[in-house]
Order: sequence, then C-alpha cells, then structure tokens
Amino acid sequence: MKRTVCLLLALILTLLLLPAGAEVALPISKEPITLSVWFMDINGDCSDLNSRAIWDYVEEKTNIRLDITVFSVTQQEALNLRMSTLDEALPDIIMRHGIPENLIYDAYEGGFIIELTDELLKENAPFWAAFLEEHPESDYRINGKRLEVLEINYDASVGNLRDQLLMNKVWLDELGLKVPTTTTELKNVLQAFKDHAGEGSIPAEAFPYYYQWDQHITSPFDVLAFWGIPTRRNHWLAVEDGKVIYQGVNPAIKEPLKYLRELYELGLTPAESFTDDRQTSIARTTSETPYIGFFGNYNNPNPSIYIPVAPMDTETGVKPIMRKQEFSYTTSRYFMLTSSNKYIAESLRLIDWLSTDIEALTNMAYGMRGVRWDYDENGLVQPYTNEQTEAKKAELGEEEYIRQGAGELPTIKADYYFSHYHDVLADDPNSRQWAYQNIYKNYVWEGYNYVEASTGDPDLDQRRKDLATELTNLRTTTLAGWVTGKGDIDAEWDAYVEQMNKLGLQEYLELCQRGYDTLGWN
Amino acid sequence: MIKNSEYRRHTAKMLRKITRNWELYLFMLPVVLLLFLFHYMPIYGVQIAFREYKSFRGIWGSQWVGLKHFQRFTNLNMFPKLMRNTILLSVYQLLAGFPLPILLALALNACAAPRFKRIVQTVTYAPHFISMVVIVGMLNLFFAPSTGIIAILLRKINLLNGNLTTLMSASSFRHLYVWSGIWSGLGWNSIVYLSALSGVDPYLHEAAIVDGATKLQRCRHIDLPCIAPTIVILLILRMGNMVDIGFQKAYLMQNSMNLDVSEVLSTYVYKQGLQNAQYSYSTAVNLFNSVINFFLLISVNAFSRKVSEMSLW
Repeated sequence: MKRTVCLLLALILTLLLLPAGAEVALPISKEPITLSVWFMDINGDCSDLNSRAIWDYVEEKTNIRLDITVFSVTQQEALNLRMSTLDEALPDIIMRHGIPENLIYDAYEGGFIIELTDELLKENAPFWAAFLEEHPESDYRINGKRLEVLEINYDASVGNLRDQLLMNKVWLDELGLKVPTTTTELKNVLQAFKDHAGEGSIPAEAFPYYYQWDQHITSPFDVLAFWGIPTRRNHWLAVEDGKVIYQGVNPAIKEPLKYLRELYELGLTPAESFTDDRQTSIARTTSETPYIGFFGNYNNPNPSIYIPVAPMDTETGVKPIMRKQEFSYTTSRYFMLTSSNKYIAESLRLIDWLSTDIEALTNMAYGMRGVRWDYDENGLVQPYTNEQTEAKKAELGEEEYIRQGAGELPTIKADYYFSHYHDVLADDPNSRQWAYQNIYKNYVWEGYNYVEASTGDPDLDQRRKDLATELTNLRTTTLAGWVTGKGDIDAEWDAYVEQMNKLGLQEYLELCQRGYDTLGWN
Repeated sequence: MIKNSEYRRHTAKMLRKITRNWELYLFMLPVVLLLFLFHYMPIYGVQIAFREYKSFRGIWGSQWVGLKHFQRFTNLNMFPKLMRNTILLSVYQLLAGFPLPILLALALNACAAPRFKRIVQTVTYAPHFISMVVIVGMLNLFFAPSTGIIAILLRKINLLNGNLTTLMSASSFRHLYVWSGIWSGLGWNSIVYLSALSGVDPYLHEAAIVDGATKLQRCRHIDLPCIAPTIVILLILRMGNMVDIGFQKAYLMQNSMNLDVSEVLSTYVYKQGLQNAQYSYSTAVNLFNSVINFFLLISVNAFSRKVSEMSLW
C-alpha cells in the first residue's frame, strides 16, 4: 500500500513538474532558417552582439540563426523614425529597442506587430503562457495588448534592490571611524572626511557624499528612503495600496530635503551633484583614485575600497527603507515579433526552449558554459566567481571573453530556474548578492514601483506627457533650489504645492492611475 | 497676339543667355538640387502638423485634426515661458552676437601687421571647428562649481569663496550660452564682412588719407557704408531665424538649476517630439516657429526697404 502511495505521489509530482520544465523538441526548425533582428545597444556593451558564440550554439541546437543589426544608443531617434515611417521592411524580431509605446501600438494597429495572444503562446510557448498566467505582474501589455515579452528575473538580489549604499572603508579606517548607522552619525562621518581632506588617502578635492540630483542612479532618493519615503526615477511617483501617489508634494519629503540642504551648506555634498551629466557621474564614481566618501550605486565599482552599508536610521521612529528595482521583469530585454516574420511558431518555440533548457537559458543569460559558468558537484548551475572570471579573462583574452558573453534574448529566471541554480555569489562579501542577503533584504520597500502605462487613449497619454514635463520642471527647480540654500522650505511649501496643483497635478495623477490600472496589478 | 510673340521673344532670349553661359548654370545646379531636395520636397510633410500621424496610414492617410496640435501647444501652462525664454535668448544673441563680427572684420581690415592679422584670424576661426558637444563639455569642466579650473583660479586669487555658481544659476545661463556662442563663432562670422571689405575701392582710402582722415574716420565713413548692404542683408536673414534656437546647445547646457530659463521651444520640441515620438505635435510646434520667423523676415525686409532702400527682394 505504502509503495503504491509513494509511486502515485512520485507520479503526481513528476506531472506537476512537467509544465515547469517541459522540453522543447530540437531542432526547432527542420530546415535551417535565419531570422533578422534589430537590437538597441542601450548600455553600450553589446556592439559585437551579432558575432557572439551564443548564436552558433543556438543555431547548432535549433537550426535557427539570428542575424542581428545592432543600433548604438545614439541611433535611438533614427530607430524611432524608422519605426514611425515603416517605409522599409521590418526585421523578423525586434529585441531590446527603447521605442516609445505609442509607436509600437501604432505599428500593431497597422498590422506590423504580432499580438502575442494567449492562444498563440499556449500553442508555441506553453512555458511562457503558463508563467504569465500565474504572474500577471510580469505580463507586460500596451493598451491591454501583449505585444512583446520581457526578460523575467525573480532573483531578489537583482530585482528587489535598486542601489547599494557604498561607504569608503579605507577612509573610515584611516580616521578610526565606525560605519555610521544614523543620519547624525553619517553627517559626522562626512564632516570628518571633509575635515581631513588632503590627509592620507583622502584627496584635497574629496567629495564626502556624492549624488546626482533627480536621477535614478547614484540618487538623492536614497536619502528620502532613510525617512521611509519610496520613489523611483525622476517622475517621483510611487504606488501605495494600488494608488499612484506623487512624492514631490508629500510633506514628509521636507525633512530629507532639509537634511540634504544641511549637507550642502556644510560642504559635504558638492554643487556638481546638480550640474554633472551621467557620464561625468560615472567617471567620478569609478575613478581609479577614489575621491568620494559615500554614494549609491547598483554595483560596487571597487570592493577593496567601498563597503555596502545599511540605510541610515533617522531616529524619528520611521523605519528606513531601500529603494526597489523592478522585481517582476526587467525592461532591458524585449522580444517583439513583426508581420515580416514567416516563422512565428519557431520564434516562440525558441524563447520557450531558452526558458526550459537550463543550459541554454544559462548560456543565454550569463554567457557560455566553461567561460562564464559551469555545473557544480551537484549538477547545479554555478556562475564563476570573480577569481575564476579573472583567470578566464587572462586565459582567453578580453575580446574572446566578451565574445563568449550573454545573448540578450529574454528568459524566465524564476522558481524553476533557481531550483537548478547555486548562487555562489551570495557567499562572496564583494558581491551585490551578498550585500542583499546580509544587509538590505529586510530594508527593501515592500510596495510597488510605479510603471508608466498607456491609458488606451492617445489624447490622454499626450496630455499626461505634457503635464509631466511641466510638473517635473517646476518640481526639480524648486526642490533643487531649496537644497542648495535658496528660500525657506517650510515658508514656501504651501505656495509650491498650490502651484503644482494649478499646473494640473491632480489631473496628472488621475491619468497615471488610469494607465497603471490597465496593467491589472491591483 | 502681340503679348504672345513678345513672350516668345523673351523666352528665346533667355534660353540663348542660358546656352551661352551654361557653365555658370551648371555650377548652380547642385545648389538648386540641394534646396529642392532638402527644403522644398519635405514641405509636403508639414501637413502632419494638421493630422494625427499614424505610421501605418502614412501622411495622406492619417486623420485630419485641423489645429488640434497648435491648440494643445498654446494651451500649455508653460507656453508663455517657452516663448519668453526663446525670444529673450534670441534677442540677446542677436544684440551681442551680431555687431561683434563686424567690429572684428573692421579691425582686421585696418590692421597693418599682416602676421598679427593672420594669427588673430586663425585663433578666432579655430573654435568654429569644435563640435557643440565638446564646447558644452568644456564649459561644464571649466565652470564646474567646486572643481572647475575657473573656480580654482578665482579661489587662488581670493576672488571666490565657496562654489562658482555660473552653471547653477538661472541668471547665468543666457550669458554663458550667448558669450560661448560668440567665442566659437566670432571669427567665422567675420569672414563674410572681411570679404565685403576687400571689395572697397582703395582709392577712397587714399583720397581720405590725403584729406587727413584718421583710421577711425575711414572705418566710419568709408568701410562701414561700403559694407552696409551686406550688414543689412545678413541682419534681415538673422531676423528670419529669430525664434530658432539650436536645440543641441541649450539641451546640453540644461540642468535642474537653470530649467526655468533654459527650456526653449527647440528643447521642448526635442523632448516631446523626438523622445516621445509625437511627430505631429512637434511638427506643429516647429511650424508655429517657422510662421513667426517668416512674418518677422517679411516685416523686417519691408521695413528695411522703406528706410534704407536695401532689402532681400
């Protein structure tokens, strides 16, 4: 009896697991086929994408060759124009692109983009279909239509945390200081960095705390988060209990703004925080001779100097939080099929294979096995540690190492994948994964980030964009002025809020809410 | 009947002239082609300012919406600010930037030391060849509030205590914009005046010298009147671009501290039109610009014809 029950249970469990990892029959196409692709190199690290080893691997397994045209990020507007004129044949697939939603939807209405309906996915990409059904928060739609699928990554260390807070440990040690835990201690530490500039390894022109005003990366939003105020990107919107809120007029931001102002007046944050462009900011935070004491960044550019630290306690009884990245999907890897594509079924089976075949998935997501990762003794995927990576680079040379890199097609990294994955980086104190597990996990904001979505009415979407520009201009100049010592925050607050309301803040919020509701996440 | 034969005679005469001087007309051909291709051909696309442009419907197939986009633009709360910023920057640029190349050309023309003249010309022409992105990069580096070379120098000579606020102040934006523009374009813009000055009859100067005229007097009474037609024509042409502020420089120089004055029509069009892909709307805003420019050109030209008898047509 026991044996029968066990066998039955095993059978049920096996059946349950099947949809999670159902194999796609290979090769996907009986005859060799080539699919043309447009790809936008947003981060400037994929100009060689078409020549990467991953495509030989994909072709060998599936009989499908991808012929990729890579656009540099400076060609974004040219790509938008090509999409808007549609006077030349579209490629079969459009991957990462940055094309505005309205253009994509127009192209869909004109029959140039294929809607990835439930039926189409169930028939050709059942793994994706089942996953999106179970996880509507990952089901990205434009005006209610699923026109593309995006990379899905439920790795909390990647998706559940925006920037780490990085403190210059070398300077702390030289001055015999402890890692600050409160905003007061932070101010004292920054003051000590300033007072000892020009001594030891602290350069005379040191920036005790550096951020880039109103930017999402290396952002002053981290300080707002110390006071428990979540915001993301320079729209200053967040979602609380399904309601879109505008943090730019939240009276709670007055305290963090005053704190930033105090740091500015004490000379602990530089005026360059308000004038630097992104490239200059990157140059500063990655400078070989470090001259920043404290800043926020996604990755730690130099773990031998900077250590991740917890968000500061404001001693007001409010729990500090850390800002959140997109948890459900990443907007960097898109996959859209056009009407030029004669191999829709094969294209969809390709992405299903990439999410169900662990080796294919890992090769696509991280780069080739034996160069970027390998199996551990338990047969689990194990990414190479920093040491192994350096050794591989030395062995292959930088160029070949890059050629063996990731392929940028979307995959699903969720429970099924993680059951085959050994996250060795979580044990490495120099990694973001370690920082998340050991420092940030309990601080990350539990609400939802606001995601801009179309209301379905082009006129309303345009109106929202107009309002966004006007509100952003007023907010950013006013708040930046306050932080840099112009005017009085308390005395001018009401007039500022009134002016924002006059510009149409409530109408803007209603339109944002309307768009957000179309996502169906509430 | 008489008119017809006159017309035929006139046409034949013109054709004879063209045949006789065909080489000259051949020289003109590339320019005419260029104008036609890039300035006349696209005019038909202007209609998308009155339509809801949809890529798949094409220009002619997109829905006609009349003045909807113009109304949207003029109803913006920031419309008056955009216009004010644009016009103020333009007027400032014109007032400061227009006379200086004339003065430089007059000075160079009067310069008796050819070696010095060549050096000055090279030094003043050179910035014209630096790209706008590099120029703004230089401005950002030189004027960086705490680490810029100017801030460091001023601190060294005790003229500055704290941050240099040039990049952080809305009131400095226009000065920096205009004077950096003058720096980069001064020499280049003076070329046309130098060329006009080279056509001034040297006998006039000789006669004036004999009469005891000083250099300044010769400049005022000979050179300036001789190049006046060129100045007037260029001024009229400049008025025809009055509302056009190149977006690139203003956009690159924008930051949170100067948005109040640095948001001009062209940066707005770039953000709304190209970044958000609202082509009909941005075309409408640009057309609005062009119409203002067009009326300015016509008015100034008419005024000039009336006052000075010099005009474009």
